[in-house]
Amino acid sequence: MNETVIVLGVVLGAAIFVVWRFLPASLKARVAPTSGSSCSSGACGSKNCGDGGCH
Amino acid sequence: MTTTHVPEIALVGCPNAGKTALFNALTGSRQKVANYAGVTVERKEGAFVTPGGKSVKVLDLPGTYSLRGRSPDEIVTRDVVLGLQKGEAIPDAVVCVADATNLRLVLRLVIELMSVGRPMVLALNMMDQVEKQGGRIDAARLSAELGIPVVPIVAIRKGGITELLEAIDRMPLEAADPRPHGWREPNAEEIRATHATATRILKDCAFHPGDEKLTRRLDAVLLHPVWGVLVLLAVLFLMFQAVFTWAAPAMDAIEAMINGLGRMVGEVLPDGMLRSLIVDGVIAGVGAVLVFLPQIVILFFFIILLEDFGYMARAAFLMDRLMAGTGLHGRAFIPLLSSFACAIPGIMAARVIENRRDRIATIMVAPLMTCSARLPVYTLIIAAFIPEEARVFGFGLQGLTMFALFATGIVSALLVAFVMKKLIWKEEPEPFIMELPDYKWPVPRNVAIGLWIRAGAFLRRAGTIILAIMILIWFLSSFPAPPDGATGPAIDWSWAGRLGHFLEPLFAPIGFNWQIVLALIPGMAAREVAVGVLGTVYALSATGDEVGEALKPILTAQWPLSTALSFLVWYVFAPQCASTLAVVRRETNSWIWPAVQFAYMGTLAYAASFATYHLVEALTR
Repeated sequence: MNETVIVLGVVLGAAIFVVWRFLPASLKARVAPTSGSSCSSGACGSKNCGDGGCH
Repeated sequence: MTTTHVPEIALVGCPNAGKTALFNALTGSRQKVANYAGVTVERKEGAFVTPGGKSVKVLDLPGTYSLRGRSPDEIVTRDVVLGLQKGEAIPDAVVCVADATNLRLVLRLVIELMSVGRPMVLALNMMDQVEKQGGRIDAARLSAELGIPVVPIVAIRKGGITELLEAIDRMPLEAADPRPHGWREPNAEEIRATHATATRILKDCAFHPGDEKLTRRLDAVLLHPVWGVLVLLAVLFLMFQAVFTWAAPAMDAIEAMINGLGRMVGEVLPDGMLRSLIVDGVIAGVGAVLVFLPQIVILFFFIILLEDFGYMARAAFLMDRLMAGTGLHGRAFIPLLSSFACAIPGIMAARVIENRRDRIATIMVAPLMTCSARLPVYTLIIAAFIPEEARVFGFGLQGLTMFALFATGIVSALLVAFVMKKLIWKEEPEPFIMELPDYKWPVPRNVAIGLWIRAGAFLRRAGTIILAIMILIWFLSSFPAPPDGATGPAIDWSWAGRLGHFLEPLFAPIGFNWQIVLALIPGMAAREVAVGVLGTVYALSATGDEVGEALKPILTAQWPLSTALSFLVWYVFAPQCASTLAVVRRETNSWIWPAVQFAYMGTLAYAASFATYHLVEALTR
C-alpha cells in the first residue's frame, strides 16, 4: 500500500478519535444513541472522571 | 380482591460500612437498580424470604453519617427513612449496618435512627476484622444499652446472615406506623448529648487493643496547631523530594528505552513520511510523556499510603481552620485533595457541599491545585534548568522547586477564595463536623491495587488521547513541506509553525517562543500533551547532529532561565484544560462560572508569568 495512504489514514483516524473524544455528550447521544460515555473510568483513574471528559 | 402488604426494610449506614455487601448477601440476584425521582441518586431494591417464611423487600440506601442530610445522597437516605421521599413508602423497619472496626463513627447515627422509632436491628459488620485486630465488642451488652437487637456479621462471607434473618423475623414489621415521621434537625446541644451517649456506650461495650491509646498519642502531635502543621509540611516536603530522587533511575531507564526504540525504528524504516510519523510523532511525542510514569506512581504511592493510614482526614482537620479563614467550607478539603489527581473528580466531589455559595467557591479554586497532568511539565522544566546537585540547607533544589510550585497552587487557591469571599460572598461558611478514623496500617494489597489503577489510567491516556493528538501535531508540523530551495527547519513552513509564529507576539511579553505557544494549544486538551508537543516540534525542528537528542538538553540550550520559569508559573495558574471548564459548566449549570474561571485564571497566569519573566531577566542580565 502507498505510504501516503497509510499515513493519511492514521492521521484521519486520530482526528476522528480526538473530535469524538471532545464532542459534547448531547451531540454524541444524537450521533450514536447507545455509545454512552467516552470513558467509563477516567484518565486520572477516578470512576467519576468520565462523562464530562478527562482533562 | 385483597393485596398483601410486603414489608420493606431499609439498609442504612455510614459510607463503606458494607451495606451493599449485606444487600448482595441477602438478595443474591434478585435486585432492581434505578434512580430516585428527580435526582441522580441510585435506588437499589431487592427481595428475600426469612427463615420464618416472610417475604421482605429491601432497599440499599446511600451511605450517610447522620440524618441531617448535607448532600443529595444523604438527603435521599434521610427522606426515605422518614417517609418523606416522593413515591417511596416509609420502610417498615431499618437495618443499620455498622463497620465494627469503627463503631464510634456509627453510634451517633444509630441513636438518631432510634429516635425515628422504626423497628430496628444493628448489624455489626466486619467482626472478623475486629477479632483479627485483637478487639472485642460485647454485642449482648450493646443490645441492652441501645434497646435493639445487635447481630455480628461478616457480610462479604455471609457470616451471621442466618442470625440476622432470624432477628428480622422477630421484628414487628406489620405493626409499624405507616405515617411519615416528624423528625427535626438536632441543635448543637442535642448533638453534644448524642455524642456523649455514644462515647459512653462505646466505652462500656467495645475494646480495641491499643488503638485508642495509639490514636490519642499520635493525634496529640499530628493534630497540634503548631507541631501538626509542621509535620504536614514535612510530609509534603518529603513526598516531593521522593518524587524526584526515587524516580530518577526508572525515568532514565524509560528514557533510554524510548531513545533506543526511536533509533532502532529510524534505522529499520526507509526515510520518508511513515518513518517521520513513527519516530518524530509517536515515539518522540508519546515517549516524552511516558517518561513521567515513575513520578506519577511515587506521588500516588504517598497519597494512597497516607489515606489508608488515616492521615488524610487529619490533614483535612488541620486545614479546616486555615480554609475557614479564607471563606472555604471544611468539606472543601476532600474535593481540593482529589484535585491533586485531576480537577474533574475534584469538582464533581464538591457535590458533597450542599450550600451553593460554598460549592461554587470550591469549584472556582479547585483547578489551582496541582493536578497530576502538570507533573510532566514541571518535571521536565525543573530537570532541565535546576541543577541536580544544587542544595539548599542540604535539601535538593529540584524537590524544593516542585514543593514551591505545589505550595503556590495551594496558597493561590486560598487567596482567590479569600478575595471571592470579600468581593462576592460575605456570609460565614457553615460549621463543619468531621469524624477522624483510627490509625491503621495500610494494607499492601490495597496500595498495590491503587497504584495499578493510577498507572493503568496514565498509560491508557498516553496510548489513546495523547497518541492521537501527537499524530495530529506531527501532521500539522510536517505539512505543507517547504518549497524547493528553502532554508531553515522545515517546520517553519508548516501549518503548526505558521500558527505558532502568528500567535507568538501575544506571548512574547512573557518570554514564550513560538514552540511554546504552539504547545499551549493542544495542551488545552490535556496539559501534559505540551511536553509531547515540545518533543515533536523540537524533533522536527532539529537539523544534523541534534536529531535523536532528548528534549531536556535541547530546552536547556535553547531557552533562557527566565522563559523556563515563566513557563512553569504559567502552568501553575493557566486554565489549560477544556474538560475542566466543561465540567464546571455542567456542575454549576451556567456558562458564567466557567467564563469567570477562565478569565481570572488566564489573567493570573499572564500577570504572574510576565512578572516572573521580567524579574528573572533583570536578575540574570
